[in-house]
Amino acid sequence: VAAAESYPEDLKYHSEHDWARVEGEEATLGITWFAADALGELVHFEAPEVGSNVTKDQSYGEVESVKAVSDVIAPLSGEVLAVNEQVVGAPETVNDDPYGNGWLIRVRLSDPGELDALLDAGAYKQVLADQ
Amino acid sequence: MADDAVRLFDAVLERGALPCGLGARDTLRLEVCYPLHGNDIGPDTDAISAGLGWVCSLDKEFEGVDVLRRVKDEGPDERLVAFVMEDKAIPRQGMAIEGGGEVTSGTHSPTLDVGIGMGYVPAAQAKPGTELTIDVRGRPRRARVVKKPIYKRED
Repeated sequence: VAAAESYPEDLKYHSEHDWARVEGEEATLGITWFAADALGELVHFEAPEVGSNVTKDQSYGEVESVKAVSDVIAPLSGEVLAVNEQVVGAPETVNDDPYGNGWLIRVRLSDPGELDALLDAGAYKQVLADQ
Repeated sequence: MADDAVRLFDAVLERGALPCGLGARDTLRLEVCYPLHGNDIGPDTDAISAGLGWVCSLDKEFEGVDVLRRVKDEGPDERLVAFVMEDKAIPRQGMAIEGGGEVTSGTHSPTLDVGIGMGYVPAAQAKPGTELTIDVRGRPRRARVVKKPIYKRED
């Protein structure tokens, strides 16, 4: 069952519909409810390699539904520490729980200063409202 | 009147109907390997190469019959094959197949939960069981030619 629309207050957001949960020098990344809903039920996550580096504002993977493919944009730069294998095996987990079990990767931040450029939940909701 | 259409649709949904459009139909027709005009067949393809010789009476005279007779006699250079992905990836129309050839239709099969597609490959690579490599946005991904249809419902 797809999750209801929400944008948790404790997350940071990127205008390309990605979120980051920052814990010290590490962050968990995923796509927002809006992105998952727009794509429809996900059937594939093309994940980056553990140990590779992702760069803020650049694609680090792809998510696919039956009809569409979309790049996943990194909200922050860092080294990939983990890939969510549950999502690789069952991509629809992202639709069910985009901010919980549907996380995509975990990174060690290379430039925590980049956090300042991200949006809080209110600002991200404004981005959605302006579309 | 238009408002009634929306209300009617909502009422049908409330009774348990599921919206089903072109995307759903496309996965179904590809699972059973029905060629789609504009994707798998068109002005640049011929019926023999597309595996549609069974609907052509080559003993009759009609526009283009000479070409079809020649392709049938000489054997087609390329054949439209069905394939199933062995690697986790979803083939899409226009992707190149290594060795010459192109994906003409591709999707994720909801029934089989795997990437499936059809495409033209050199006749030598058209046999079921042949391994193909498809260029999925720069990444080589393995697929295998299968007998059509890709899926047949068991009764």
